Amino acid sequence: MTIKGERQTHIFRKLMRYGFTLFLILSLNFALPRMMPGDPIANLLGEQARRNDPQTIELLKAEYGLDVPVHIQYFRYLKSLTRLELGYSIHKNSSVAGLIAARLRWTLLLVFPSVVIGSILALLLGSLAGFKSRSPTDYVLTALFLILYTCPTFLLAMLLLSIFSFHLGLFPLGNLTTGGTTGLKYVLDIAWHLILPVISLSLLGASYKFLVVRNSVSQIFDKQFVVAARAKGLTERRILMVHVIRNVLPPFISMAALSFGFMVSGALIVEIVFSLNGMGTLIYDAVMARDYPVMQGCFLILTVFVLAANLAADILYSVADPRIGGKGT
Amino acid sequence: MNKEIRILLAASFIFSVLICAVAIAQSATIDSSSVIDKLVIGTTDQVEDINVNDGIFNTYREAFLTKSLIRVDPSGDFVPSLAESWETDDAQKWVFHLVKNATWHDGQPVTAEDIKFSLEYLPEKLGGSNWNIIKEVDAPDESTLIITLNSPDSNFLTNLLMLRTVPKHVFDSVEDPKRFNDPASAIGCGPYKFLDFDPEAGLIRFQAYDSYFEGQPSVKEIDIRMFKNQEAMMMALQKGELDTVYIYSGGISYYYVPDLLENNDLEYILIKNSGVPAAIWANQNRTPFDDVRFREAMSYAMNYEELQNLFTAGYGRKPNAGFIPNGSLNYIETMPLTYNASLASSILNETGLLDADGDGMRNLADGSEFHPEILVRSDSDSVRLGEMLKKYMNAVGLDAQIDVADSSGFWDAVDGKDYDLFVSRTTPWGMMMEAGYATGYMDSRSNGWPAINDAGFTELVDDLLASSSKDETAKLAQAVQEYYASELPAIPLYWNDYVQPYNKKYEGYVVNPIHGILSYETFFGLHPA
Repeated sequence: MTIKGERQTHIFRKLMRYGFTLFLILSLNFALPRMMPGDPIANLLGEQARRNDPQTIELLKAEYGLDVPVHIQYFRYLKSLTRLELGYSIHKNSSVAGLIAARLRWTLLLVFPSVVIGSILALLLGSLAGFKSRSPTDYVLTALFLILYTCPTFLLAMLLLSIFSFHLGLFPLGNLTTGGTTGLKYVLDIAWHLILPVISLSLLGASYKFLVVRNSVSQIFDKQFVVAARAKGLTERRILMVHVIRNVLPPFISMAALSFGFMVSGALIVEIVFSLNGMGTLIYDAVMARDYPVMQGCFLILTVFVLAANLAADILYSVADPRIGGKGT
Repeated sequence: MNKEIRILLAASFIFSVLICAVAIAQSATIDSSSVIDKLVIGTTDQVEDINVNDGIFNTYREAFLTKSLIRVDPSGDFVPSLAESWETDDAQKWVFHLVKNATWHDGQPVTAEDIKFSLEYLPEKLGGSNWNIIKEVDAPDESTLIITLNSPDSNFLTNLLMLRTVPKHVFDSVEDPKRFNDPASAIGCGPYKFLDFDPEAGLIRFQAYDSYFEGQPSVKEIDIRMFKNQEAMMMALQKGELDTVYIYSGGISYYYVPDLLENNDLEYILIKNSGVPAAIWANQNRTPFDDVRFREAMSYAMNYEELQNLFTAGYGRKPNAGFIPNGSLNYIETMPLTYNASLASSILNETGLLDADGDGMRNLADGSEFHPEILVRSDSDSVRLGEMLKKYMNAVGLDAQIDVADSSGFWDAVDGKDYDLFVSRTTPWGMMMEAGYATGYMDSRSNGWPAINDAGFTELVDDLLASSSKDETAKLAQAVQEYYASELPAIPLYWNDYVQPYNKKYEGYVVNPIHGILSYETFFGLHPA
């Protein structure tokens, strides 16, 4: 079999594996919310649930398909997924697809630049710190990123909000827009509102990636092929850029992909601090309210993102390192 | 001579006209200077949509957009609103006479048929425990409404405070109001009409309705700005981006008070909370929580002074055993709750809860292990409070355990009576439910949190519901408070005041018992300082 054929087989196998994983996760997405204590209808009616007549409660259960046995709910759930129907929220008076569409675009607008900026920052500064291992530059950068790594998300975000928005008045105190703007003004307004949240997520995302890159680079500099490269008379910069970073890329791609998937849901704290309507708060609210359709819909989207990011990482792996995806893998 | 008189008269007339004109001009100047173009209110309560089923938006619907038949004034008395008068002979059949000049925001007149429709349509489509008591609603003519209840209920007007009137001509064709998010769903008959909702900006705007039947409010536009955390909201208030803040049935954290005191632009009102901010509720379906002596011992085990200091930062009071906070209607002085650990221990000894196995903790009377569980909500101060209660109970030999649940799990357990003890607040509105005086929480036919199994209490609630005079109600309210004090179905841990901050550029905020500063008196009386 040719190398191209081997790679195609590798990708096909991966796709099969991902397909099975997707089915498994979809089933878990259905089961997990129902395994949690608490009832969505009781939660909907709140502390006055008992004061409602049982008929009202039964009608509400029937409306959301919760009056039938769990296995029938499961088959209905799978059937609706085949039609790409995510259902209707129990608590938010809106379709799940509509809710996700309204939130996901903002989350992506927040997360995508954060992952890219954070990753570039980590790759550049991590390489620099590893390259100049045990130098003052290394000490300063490592100390800085260690502080960021240990800093709770809410603290960093709140510090940025307090300093740059409250005290210096450079940025707004929250939300995605000021309201009432259109066209280019609207775009610039959104950018102005997203600068601090993106900085928060970028710094936090960069902090742990930095440490991995720095350690990888400093270790690789001791490898035989680097010694050989030096012996060939290559400059340190060329060794770093062409030979070392290439070897750091596979674990780095893996980290970046994973962080993208998790940041879609994990931006919750940043969303709360900056009063943003994103996927994090949507998922949090749904879990708190046991809003099964919203939870299922959000988890489905997250699953797709995590799997897509991993698949992309797998494919990029084989591009970054041709040995991956060949025979025996 | 006549000519001179005529000239004099003419001069006097012109002078009088000028005086009047100056007076009118002056009054117009005063009026225009007392108008507030825009009031910006910050909140941490989140509106999801302008739906009639959105709990938070309904707060604004009740305060700005719609009018019920009646409303409450700042002293808590019922005063006319859409109904200019009402009467009842037996507290079962209520007749309301509606004002004739009220209109919906689309210009259509508000009729008795609209109110009948609202009372029938919303409970049918959305449920609603407040309306189970209604047997029949009649609208014999455009301005008369007759509501017949299943049984006498002297507290029925309280339920009407939560009536969200909707226009029949809009909702008649709406099969499922839960999915009706059109701006038409926000058409009401209140002093403000809905302008727009921008979720990305976290902004909802309301504008004064020109044809409002009670006149023009002094605040022309109200903007609600939503924040997802109190810290950012308070920063906005301090920066002057907000004129005031609003949190339904609550105030800001006491933590922010020092900042308020330092800021010369800000001031605050203390609002007496007519709800109980924290109480411990015992499940009387379980032993030994069904024993009043056990509950009495518990009441002596709590250090109220410490709780008050820790949780209210000086804006609280030590509670009385009668549960209902002082300042409430028909409040009576009952026994003050006091901390006396040795007395708590001796009462527990009398109940037979002794340390049978010598491990330092009490066992049940039959010698078995006893680990009373305190159920607390994870999203409130209750966890911290639960830790304190555990400490107090441990100090008297009760091996208390904390069971932390999120809101959903918490209500599931409370609803299913699956708890020993739980910690929860009561809201001002909740205190008015059923027959009032917290009976909605206590009576097993209603929320029934402490699972009281006492026919005497049920009878007391029924008497209160059937009461037809203020004096009789006061007497029965006194009996209810005495019952709480002697039986301790729930132990209030502290009473408190809410801190309501505002920017000093406007003054005239008036507090309403239901919606706080979002009151009729604020909208009509707020003016520049």
